[in-house]
Amino acid sequence: MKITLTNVRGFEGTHTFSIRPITILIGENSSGKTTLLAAISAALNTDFPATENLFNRAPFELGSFDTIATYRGGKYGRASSFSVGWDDNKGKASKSCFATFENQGGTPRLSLMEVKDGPNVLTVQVTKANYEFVFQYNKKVSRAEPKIDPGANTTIQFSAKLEGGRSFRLQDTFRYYLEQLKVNDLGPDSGTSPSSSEIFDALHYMTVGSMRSRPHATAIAPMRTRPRRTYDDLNEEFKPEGEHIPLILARLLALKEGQTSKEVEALESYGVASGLFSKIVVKRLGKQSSDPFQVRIKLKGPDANLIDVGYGVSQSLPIVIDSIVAPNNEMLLIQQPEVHLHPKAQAALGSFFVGLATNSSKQFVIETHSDYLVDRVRIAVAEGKISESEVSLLYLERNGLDINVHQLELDSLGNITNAPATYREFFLKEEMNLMSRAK
Amino acid sequence: MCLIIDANCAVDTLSASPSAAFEPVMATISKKNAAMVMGGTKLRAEYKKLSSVWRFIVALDQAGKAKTYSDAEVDAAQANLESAGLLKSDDPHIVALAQVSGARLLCSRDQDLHQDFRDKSFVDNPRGNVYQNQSHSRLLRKC
Repeated sequence: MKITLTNVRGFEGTHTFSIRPITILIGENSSGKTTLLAAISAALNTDFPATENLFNRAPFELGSFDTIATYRGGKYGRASSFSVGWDDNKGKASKSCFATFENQGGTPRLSLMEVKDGPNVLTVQVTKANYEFVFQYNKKVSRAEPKIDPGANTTIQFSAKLEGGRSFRLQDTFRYYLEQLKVNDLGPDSGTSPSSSEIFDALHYMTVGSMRSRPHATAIAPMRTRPRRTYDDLNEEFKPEGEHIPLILARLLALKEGQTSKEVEALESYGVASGLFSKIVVKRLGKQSSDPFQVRIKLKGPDANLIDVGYGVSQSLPIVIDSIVAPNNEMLLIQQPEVHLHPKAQAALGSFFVGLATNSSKQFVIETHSDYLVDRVRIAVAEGKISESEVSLLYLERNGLDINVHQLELDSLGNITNAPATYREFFLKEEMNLMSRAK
Repeated sequence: MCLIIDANCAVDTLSASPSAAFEPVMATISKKNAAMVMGGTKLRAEYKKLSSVWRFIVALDQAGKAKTYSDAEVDAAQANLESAGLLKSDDPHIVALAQVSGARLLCSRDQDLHQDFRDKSFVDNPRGNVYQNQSHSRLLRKC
């Protein structure tokens, strides 16, 4: 899958990023890593493209149009629009979805969107008063889904009035407009091929059915919620800071004596490899499953409450558990997973992500400053645990107002084959200074 | 371009203050897209004995400026050279690394190894060159 950004913050012009099962974002502070994650999160949101500002969905907050559109300085000023989108060539037909946003009273307003599914293209231009639809199709949308005459090579155009206050979302509101169109614009079936209902079905498939197979992104916040001694008022709804994690943990661990599950095995395997815990136990303070409970951590000796052990445990649990329970095809966007972790646990996280990426169709985009995590992924490549083609190292480098993006490639032994001279320049200088400090 | 650094000049090269003779090599690795190559059980063991050098090699590796080759492949090439018994030097692991990696520039103080490295029956297509001091800086221009 590829993510494309045009004129988003420091990403002046068009930048395309290759997202692989393991994608690691590397770079100094303020080099665009979080912006890239926020853009991926918006582009892979089920609501995308939408009139709503998806760039401010938690845990991200890119702000208003003025803080998102590229500022070029001087006479060039700020870009008049910015675009975000994705394309995916996996499977039989390539699919893509791009959206362009313009400034409307300080907020980004959806002005143009384009959805492609193989040779079929739907373009929607949003004017002040109307949605202008252009649908080009020239063969059946898919074997299983609604068909259009393979011989047809047609472009249809129609428009729909913007309704005040109604927001636009590809996957739900669009259906509303399509239903209006079916009645008002396409007319009754006349016996010709394709019929209006076939066009409707194809459009619906492109905007809803086809989009279901795209990855969905889940973003985990860089700072996770503080642990509590007792948990009682919880629900399992996902929260980027991980407030939902204790309840998920309680459900995962609600096993009979001697029973285990793949999820628990994965969790305990990470716990042992990281040195953070050997076992986690949920202790109910009553007989009912709805009673308050405590999360207790076993390492050596008697178990201890989650709040009484090192902060690294409670900070890493949301990442580990959300990664384990995420459905296949999910893309997890993770910021600073190494926070509060000893290098041993940081390295173990690298192995953990590799294990999940290779044993499932989950993908991980990880923003990190941890050499241990990156090195562990490179070692996994050298050990043949993951192919070099499944790892993407994106080195983001600020250059004045712009951001330079370097896609670093690995070979089969985990060597970085195309590092620019500036990559890790600071670290090499620091090593030299350290070695010569006694002079 | 890739180069091999013999353990006998590693301290003079891979250092915060390299010797004058090897300073251009360090500068080329640091500032250009050159990389040193590493591989084979023996050379790795020799580097590891030099702790400050090893630490710096790790930093170069993380920066994409040290390229690792398979120990098994280098060791096998070394075994072939040893069994042929034609080398003048006692450094078949260095010649083997050149054969496996394709690196054709060597930094070394060992005169016998210089002869082996320049001998096209061992290192060819292209032939090997040896860097010994600043007067050989032109060899680094290809880096």
